[in-house]
Amino acid sequence: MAPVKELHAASRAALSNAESVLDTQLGARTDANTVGAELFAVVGLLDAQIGLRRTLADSSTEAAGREALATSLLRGKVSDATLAVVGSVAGDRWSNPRELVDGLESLATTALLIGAERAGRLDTVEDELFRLGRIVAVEGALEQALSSRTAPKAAKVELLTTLLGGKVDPTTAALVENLVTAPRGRDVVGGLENLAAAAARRRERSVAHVISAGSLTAAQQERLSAILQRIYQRPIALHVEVDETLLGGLVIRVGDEVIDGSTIGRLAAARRTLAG
Amino acid sequence: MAELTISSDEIRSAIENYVSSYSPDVSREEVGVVSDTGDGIAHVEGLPSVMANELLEFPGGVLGVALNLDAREIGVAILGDYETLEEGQEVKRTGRVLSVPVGDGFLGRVVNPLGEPIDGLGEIVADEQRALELQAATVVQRQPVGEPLQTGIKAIDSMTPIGRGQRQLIIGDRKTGKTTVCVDTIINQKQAWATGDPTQQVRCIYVAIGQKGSTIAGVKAALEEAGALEYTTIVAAPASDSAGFKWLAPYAGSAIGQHWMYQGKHVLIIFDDLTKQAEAYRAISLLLRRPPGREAYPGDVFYLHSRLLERCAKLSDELGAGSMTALPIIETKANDISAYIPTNVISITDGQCFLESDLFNSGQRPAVNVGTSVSRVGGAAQTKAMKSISGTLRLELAQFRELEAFAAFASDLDATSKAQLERGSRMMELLKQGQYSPLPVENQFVSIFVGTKGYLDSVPVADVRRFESELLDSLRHKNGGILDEIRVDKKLTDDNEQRLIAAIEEFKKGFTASDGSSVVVDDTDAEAMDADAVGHETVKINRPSPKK
Repeated sequence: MAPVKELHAASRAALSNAESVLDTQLGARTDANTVGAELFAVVGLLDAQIGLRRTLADSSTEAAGREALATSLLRGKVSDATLAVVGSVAGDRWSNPRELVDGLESLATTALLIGAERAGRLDTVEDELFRLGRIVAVEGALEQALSSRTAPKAAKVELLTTLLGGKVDPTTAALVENLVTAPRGRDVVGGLENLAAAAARRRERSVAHVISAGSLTAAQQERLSAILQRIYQRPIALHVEVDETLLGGLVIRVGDEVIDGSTIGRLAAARRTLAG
Repeated sequence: MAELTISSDEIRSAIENYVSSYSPDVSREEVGVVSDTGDGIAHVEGLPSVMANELLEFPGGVLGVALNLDAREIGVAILGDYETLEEGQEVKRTGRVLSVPVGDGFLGRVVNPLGEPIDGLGEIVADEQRALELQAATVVQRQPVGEPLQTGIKAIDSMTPIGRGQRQLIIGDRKTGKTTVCVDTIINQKQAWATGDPTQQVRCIYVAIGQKGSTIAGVKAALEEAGALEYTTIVAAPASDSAGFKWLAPYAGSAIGQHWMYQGKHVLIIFDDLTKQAEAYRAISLLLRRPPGREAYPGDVFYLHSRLLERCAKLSDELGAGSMTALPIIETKANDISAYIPTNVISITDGQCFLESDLFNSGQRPAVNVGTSVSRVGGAAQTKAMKSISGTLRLELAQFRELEAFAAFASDLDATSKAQLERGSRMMELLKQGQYSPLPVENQFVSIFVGTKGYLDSVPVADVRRFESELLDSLRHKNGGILDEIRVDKKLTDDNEQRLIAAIEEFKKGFTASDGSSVVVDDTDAEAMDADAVGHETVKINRPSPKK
């Protein structure tokens, strides 16, 4: 799975649109694992069909037309949630056809990770992916066997089942199987590291790093946690640090977002306003 | 949460199972898909087992060479008509790395860089297929160059002689006679071919890269007329061919020649010209998005030429003592031999013949610049006869050229300088030669002998060439024995020398210059005059009478 930073600007915007569609679609009743598996299947289809891939990524044509093409092809073959995500991807503007397919793969991985998160097993999945990455990196023969481009897919899947069967979470198994059967130009160790990093990023979304001037009481921490849960619509764990240079207030970082409520931050803002 | 651990034993046994159960299916055909194409380059997805430089087959029988093996796709240079290719077409592997058919059937034929005949004379029966990218002979497989390859051109054979196994660069501006030098060399091998002796016979290969179709046809006609086509192969990649063909043509010609070389035969190969091959390679590399370097050539343009020219060698006796001599041609712009490609090839080859456009335009043809032309093999590639008379010729002519420029301004020169100028201008006149008229080595020898020993000093410059041709005619008809002896012995004995000088003197008596005068220097002794006939100077003193 290509890390987000490898995509061009237009693709990044399209991907974040699609991610929000995915979030909406994955309501309480939709099975995230099914959606993830179906999205991987769509990725395989687009990899094989060059003409279809090109047509769906051709931003010079009308967006509605592309969306209609994608949905008409897949209707009845995939679930409605998958259809909505693929429609959003097809209707958006991507930098080039390859990035469209990379984005779809990223969405598929996200769907599977959301499934694991809902089951409370995201930590396990992340840990397993990381350890598997280390094991494969050390065992040269295993890495070669898994990265072989000419071996039949069934043989590689069987090798994986023999080694991992029953020892890993089904989400991990699904992710690794997809990585090995459809490498799409990546090497196995790098791919596993990327997957572990994606899982870690997903987990980080639910962690708030709080830096305060003085230590917080338990009641204060509980109140903060409740506020954050209201804002982010999901349980947020707190990691608290003390830094006296802040002079007062809090700096809260959740994932990519930073809320600066510190005294020193407000003084700096005031200085900027006066200077400007 | 339990940590994921897999023991090394488990891994080892699982891999053993996997390897034993999976046997690569040899008969399964791998198929790739064209993902984009244009300008003679195609990108193909799929085909994971393709080898570097492997030939791939596109629909319609078009072939391509897999050059860029990237993670997700293959960059292919198309050999042939790329306009029929479309996105989504299927591509198959041929399993063949770049190779051409080779064999004796190629003599007298015109082929394209894939070995297919294009002269309409039917199929060619090949001995075997030879890969284009085989390594050149190693150091221990070679021996020093010792046998001469006679070009038949006096200017080259006397001053920058070429040996069998040498690489001699022919470099000059356009229209300075580079191709003519090479075609004359091919024509000159006719005598050796007629002997039937494999140690003397030289098979020739003329590789035309990016030339006009009319030029290639002209060369073929000239060779045919001179009877030289029976031992020549022409590998043609005319200007209308795709860049892939122009890039490959020299390697194809070289493969054909190496097949004969490793059989112990002698080969001469001419690359006309390598600048166009470098340009074609540049076009392919830029289209494949390889990083450009100096003058937009890719970084390995030196390796492009060095591995081609290193295949020319003189092999050791254990390997059959065969040889392949190369005459690569480079076209310069405005006589600039310090540009990128010319300097590259000069450093690879064993010497160069620099043809200058000024000399060509002033009538000196072949327009060899004596000062900058050099042969690093030198005297080892000359017969003893030639070596004895042409020893200092190059230096003398170089000095003459410098003196000539100086003398244009000075009117009053000393006798030595005047003599040097006279001798030099007659030698330069002597070195002029017509197109398609190479001289056998014995004729060259007599010609240079006459010039360097001073027998031409009494002949006016304008009559020098007529003198030479008529002298050679008379020697062939009246004293043919001398020429034959020189050809067979390859050196001049004292007896021969005396007879030769006598023959020259006799011919001079019968020769009249164009202004009607004789060229014999009258050296009869003057008779002493009588003492009283000699006039004395007298001095008359006019002393005026003293005043009274």
